[in-house]
Amino acid sequence: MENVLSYMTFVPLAGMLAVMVMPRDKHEVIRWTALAFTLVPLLLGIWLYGDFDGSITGMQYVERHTWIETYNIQYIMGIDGLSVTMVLLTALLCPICILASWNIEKGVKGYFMLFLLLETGMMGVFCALDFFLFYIFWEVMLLPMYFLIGIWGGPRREYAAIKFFLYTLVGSVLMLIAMLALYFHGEPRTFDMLVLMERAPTYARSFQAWAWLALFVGFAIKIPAFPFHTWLPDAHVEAPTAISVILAGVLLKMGTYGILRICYPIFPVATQQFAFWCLAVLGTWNIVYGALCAMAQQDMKKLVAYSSISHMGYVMLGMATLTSQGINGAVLQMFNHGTVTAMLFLIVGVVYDRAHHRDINGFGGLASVMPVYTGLMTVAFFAALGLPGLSAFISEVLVLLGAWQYNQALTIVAASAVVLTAGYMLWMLQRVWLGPVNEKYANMPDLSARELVTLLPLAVIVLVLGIHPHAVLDLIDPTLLALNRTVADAVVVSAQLLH
Amino acid sequence: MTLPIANIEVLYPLMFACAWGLLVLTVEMFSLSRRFVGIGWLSALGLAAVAGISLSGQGAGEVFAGAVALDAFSVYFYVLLSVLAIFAVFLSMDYVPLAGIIHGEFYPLILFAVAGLLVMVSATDLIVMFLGLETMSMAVYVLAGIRKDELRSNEAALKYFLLGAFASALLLYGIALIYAITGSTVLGSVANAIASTDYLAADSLVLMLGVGMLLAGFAFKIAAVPFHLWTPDVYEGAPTTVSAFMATAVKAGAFAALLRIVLVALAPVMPDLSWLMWVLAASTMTMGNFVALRQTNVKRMLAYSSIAHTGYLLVGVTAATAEAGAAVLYYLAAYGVMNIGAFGVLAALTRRRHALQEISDFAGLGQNRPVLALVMSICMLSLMGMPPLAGFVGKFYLFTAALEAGYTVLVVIAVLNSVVSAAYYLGVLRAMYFQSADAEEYSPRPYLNFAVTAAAAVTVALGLAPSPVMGAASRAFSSIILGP
Repeated sequence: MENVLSYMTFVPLAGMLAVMVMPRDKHEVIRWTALAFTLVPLLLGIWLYGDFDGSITGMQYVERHTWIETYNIQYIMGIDGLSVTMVLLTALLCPICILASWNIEKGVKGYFMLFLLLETGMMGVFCALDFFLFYIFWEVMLLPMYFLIGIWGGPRREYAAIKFFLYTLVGSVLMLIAMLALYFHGEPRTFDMLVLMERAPTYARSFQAWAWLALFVGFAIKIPAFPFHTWLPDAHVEAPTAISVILAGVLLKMGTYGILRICYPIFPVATQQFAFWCLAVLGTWNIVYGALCAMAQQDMKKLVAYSSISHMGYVMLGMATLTSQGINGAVLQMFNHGTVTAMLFLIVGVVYDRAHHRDINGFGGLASVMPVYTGLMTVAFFAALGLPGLSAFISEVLVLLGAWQYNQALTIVAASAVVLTAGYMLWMLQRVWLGPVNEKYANMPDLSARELVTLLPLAVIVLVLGIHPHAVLDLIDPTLLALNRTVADAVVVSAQLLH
Repeated sequence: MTLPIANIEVLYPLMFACAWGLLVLTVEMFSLSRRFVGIGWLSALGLAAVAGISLSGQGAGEVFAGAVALDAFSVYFYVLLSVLAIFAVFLSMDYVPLAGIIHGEFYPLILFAVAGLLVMVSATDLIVMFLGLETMSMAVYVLAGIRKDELRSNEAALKYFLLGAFASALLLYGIALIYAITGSTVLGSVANAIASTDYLAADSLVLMLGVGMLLAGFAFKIAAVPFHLWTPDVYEGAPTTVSAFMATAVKAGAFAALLRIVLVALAPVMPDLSWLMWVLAASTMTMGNFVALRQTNVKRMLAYSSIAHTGYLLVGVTAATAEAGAAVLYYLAAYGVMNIGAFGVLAALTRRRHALQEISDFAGLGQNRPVLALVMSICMLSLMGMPPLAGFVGKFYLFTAALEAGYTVLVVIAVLNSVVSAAYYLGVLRAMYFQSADAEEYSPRPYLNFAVTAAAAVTVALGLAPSPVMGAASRAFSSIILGP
């Protein structure tokens, strides 16, 4: 199974080709085929979870082939503790999203083809260890997203799609420039990230600084960090439910993943230089700003979108601290936010499918109408607001523990924002699920079996990780500690090399 | 009796192309139906044979005292031009009857244009190069205006002819002035003569005037700003498959000749003129892209996009290194194939005598004609520079080479231009997929559909596995800079 990563990446692509040759009116066949081709990566992911050795800090399951010889471009795939969580998250969310897309009736064939291509792009980004390959997957993922929002989205879908596309494209271009600069910076020329990481100490301070900033803006657009976040609420509001889940669950993580995978080990000196302002301060601002914006929303989906901005702030703050708790908390938060937000969007999707609107004030008393739904909703909502015993609590506490050792003022601000989070989550809960029953929706059916299958596994993961976080922490801890050391030692090492 | 010409085999592909053109013309005269697709097949067969003959004759050397060379560079372009022309022929086999073109000369004219292009790319003498350019141009002038009853087609032909004739005159005058200074028209000798004299001295003005006129003449042919104004009108008015041929094969041929002149004959002068190429490249791509943003007519948009791509290619000419030259060669192939696909889709949507023109005409194509829409998407995305398609790899090669040569600012301008271009290429995608329209009935168009699908497939393949073509481009380019 040494090619497991290639299988996980390209099986969905094979699925896309399989769907492509099917007649377009065979909706059921297409859906089941898409589901089957996303279940393969999930099963491989489950195997990977058992087989992955968390105690190793280096890359595992490495594949290496020459691709474009003239430019020394290689096909390198491999995962370490950082990427394994993201690969697992992607493998988990994709079949769930296929199920959540079951009631798509318009252009079924195109939808599932694009979705499968999207999964290939996402998997590839998390597995690629050649910068060129990483860039290709990054761009490959952009297109299906553009179409999925632009064709199957809400009323303002065209605007949201083009905004998403152009924002990300600007980020990609900055990334491309930094990538080419790296390529020309050292002999023999290579895009191999592992080699680039070894060369890290030889990069001059000024070069590190501008390359870091170029990459950072590219990644910050994806996170999205203030002030590059404005595409997110638009994209989320217009995107169909499953695409929102992917967007918040996986795509946002690519920003923070990129910073940890590329900026940290390749430009450690610049990372130390900019961590405070660009990651810690901006992250804390994200937490507060996102929460305040969420509080003001009338649209359930927009509220969840802003809550994502807020929660991704914890990731930025955690990784900025360069402490063992902080960085572990950040990566754990990436995983937990993936599962919790996925649940939140699915929950919004359930009422939207029934009521065809998402106005928070337009419901009331759903708890007595849909008890099973309400039970699962409670898990997700309380996880999102950081209730002890649920997964997000652990990661947020770890981040705050790390942050306390780093900067106490920021920690106090970030910790206080938890109150805001509780505020907007509970306020939405109260308006939608409690109070008198809105007669219009008194007969809304409870969750269907399909909807239950999408929500239940996520709820179980949220509960299990709340009690036993080591199920993930054991995978990531050694890798992240090594990464921390690389950055922390960088100043010393580069000083030695330059003299 | 034996011909007193050494190395006559160098000319075999050329002679074959001319002879085949005459043969097709003759066969066509006796064919009963004016819409006989066999003529198209016959032309395609001849073009394939040209490619085959040139491949087998590679390295045959020079003929006519170094006036024509069949080096790796020539062979690369012989094959590329043949392939592009075959694509154009296949597109035309359905398009010609649809557009109501009933003139039998259509295919022979394409073959004669190709013959002219072959002379042009393999010429190592300025006069012979001019000869090839004129042969090609004459054929293309007629092709542009072949729809005699169509006003726009007439306008296109007249405009192209008048401006083209003017450009030719400039070119010829430039050649004369260069001859006056260097005493030769053979590229290698011109280079030696310039290198051995102090060209900055007394005669510098005459030489620079000659170089300037030569470059201006070529700028017309490759549609570089400020000599680009004919392009949108001509591409719009000419029959769509002729526009496809002009935008790809003719441009490739003109760039080949330009590379030979700039990097061989004028090599000693070029370091002092790189600023000129820089300005030409930057203004061409910026102008092309920004004007394309405002177009609602797809053919005009593609014309401005082709101007923008001239700008990208000029980035490689500016850098003037071995890598940059190879990148230009690769990009010409990538650009040719993806543009053939784009124009081909336009041709495939022709209604009776009426080509689809407006972007809004593409509405609903994703629903009604999914394969054509997919082909168009691949071509648009490749033109935009999306990985992993040919256009991305080509831009990557070009821009890395330019970066390596130290043209950082130019590369940044080029990259920003690519972002701008995304806006108008996406406009087509938006119309195809985000808007809907009623399906229309189309007559079956097997050749067109085959050709555009093949073009899209090659675009993908060139992006995923660029190494073979890049290797050939690299060998081809080194054969002209190491040659003389």
